[in-house]
Amino acid sequence: MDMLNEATKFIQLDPTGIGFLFIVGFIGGLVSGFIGSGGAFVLTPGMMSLGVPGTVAVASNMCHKFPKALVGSIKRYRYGQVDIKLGLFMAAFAGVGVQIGIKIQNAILAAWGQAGSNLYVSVSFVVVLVVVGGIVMADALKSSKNSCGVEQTCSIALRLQKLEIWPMVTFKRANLRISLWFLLPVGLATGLLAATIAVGGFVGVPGMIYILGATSLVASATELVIAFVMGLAGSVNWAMQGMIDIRLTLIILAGSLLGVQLGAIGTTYVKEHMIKIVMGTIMLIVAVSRALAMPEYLGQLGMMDVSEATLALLSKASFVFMVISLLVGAVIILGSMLKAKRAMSPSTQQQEA
Amino acid sequence: MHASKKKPVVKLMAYGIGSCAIYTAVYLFQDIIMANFAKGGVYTVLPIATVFLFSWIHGTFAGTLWEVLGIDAVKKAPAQTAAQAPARKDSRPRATVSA
Repeated sequence: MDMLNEATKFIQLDPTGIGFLFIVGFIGGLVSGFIGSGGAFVLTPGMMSLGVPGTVAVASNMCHKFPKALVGSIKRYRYGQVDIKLGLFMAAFAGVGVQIGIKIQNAILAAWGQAGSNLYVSVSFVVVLVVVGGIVMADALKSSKNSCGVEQTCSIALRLQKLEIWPMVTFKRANLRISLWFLLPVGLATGLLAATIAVGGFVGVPGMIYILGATSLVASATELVIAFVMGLAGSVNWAMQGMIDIRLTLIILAGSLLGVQLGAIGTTYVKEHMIKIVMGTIMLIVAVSRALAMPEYLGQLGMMDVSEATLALLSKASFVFMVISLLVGAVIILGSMLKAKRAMSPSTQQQEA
Repeated sequence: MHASKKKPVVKLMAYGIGSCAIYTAVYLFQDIIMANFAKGGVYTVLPIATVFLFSWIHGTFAGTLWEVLGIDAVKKAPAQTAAQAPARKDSRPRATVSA
């Protein structure tokens, strides 16, 4: 029984490992609370570097994701940023997307084996992150030059909202009305990406902003609802197979519940384009990280000749870039929060009162 | 932020003690927990219920901690800046009575 073999491999934890998981949990939570997703992609390889088997790392990571998303979304709901209806619609379509993603993964695994599957994941990662991250970053830089501070709705989204194709759905909190036929591909793509690279939000949030026409605040907050629904379903599935190491989950959760609330509070301090800046930056740095991991898989498939020493170096560099992406995101968030707090001098607050 | 508001120190202590207690319990009984939580089947409910419990107790502690430290949300109006496409006029011909 494979499950039992895997389960007996639950590792002994030392203080260094516990500290590492707590800190990464905190930073990942901070980023998730702010942009709606992210952080998880560092935790899985991070746990594996501690000696946790791959499946247990994925399962334990997913099991911390949904309670974190729940706490973060409740916090942001209180700030009036969450559209529950939009989140549930997106989660339902993303659920279908996940199933399609799994089928594609299995087909690739059957045709080209594990190395082919890894290469497919890495190529998807790089292509999606460079394209979407580039769009988000370009838009963020354009918005930052816009001194009025009010976010403009993308012209594509406005055009799509004008098309009356039955059934039309209205989302009050997101303040938009759009055909279900435009909601469907965004939800499917979110699920497809979640099944492929485990971070659906990198497509979900930009999709809600640029295709549906939600604001960055509403899109990133609503992503937490999607993450909760999908994470809960995924965690139940993993728990049924006995793959969750609850100790790992709870250590990460200890840090991420502190981080996610700080990130959620942060969204009320900063201008909306900061969400796009953080998201775009993280996506582009992660794309570099995944590109560095590609030669290993190309070598395994016999498409490239790489020495062992080079591979080891590339693998380390890939992980370092992932950690850097989170750190940079966290620094931007905390830095912009501090800047905003300093700007709110007592005299400014008295004038507002 | 809100200097005049009383800080919920008692709530912070209560949930802080609760959070420490549940984490200590997991540390002390980790052998029993590891033996039972990864059995799958009906035991699925154990890890799921546990994370919900922790997210309530530790989550409340975490939220209260930021509040006590003075890091609180800046009260903003709900973000409803997205422009909405104007509703199209119904131009379909209607049956009218001309008496």
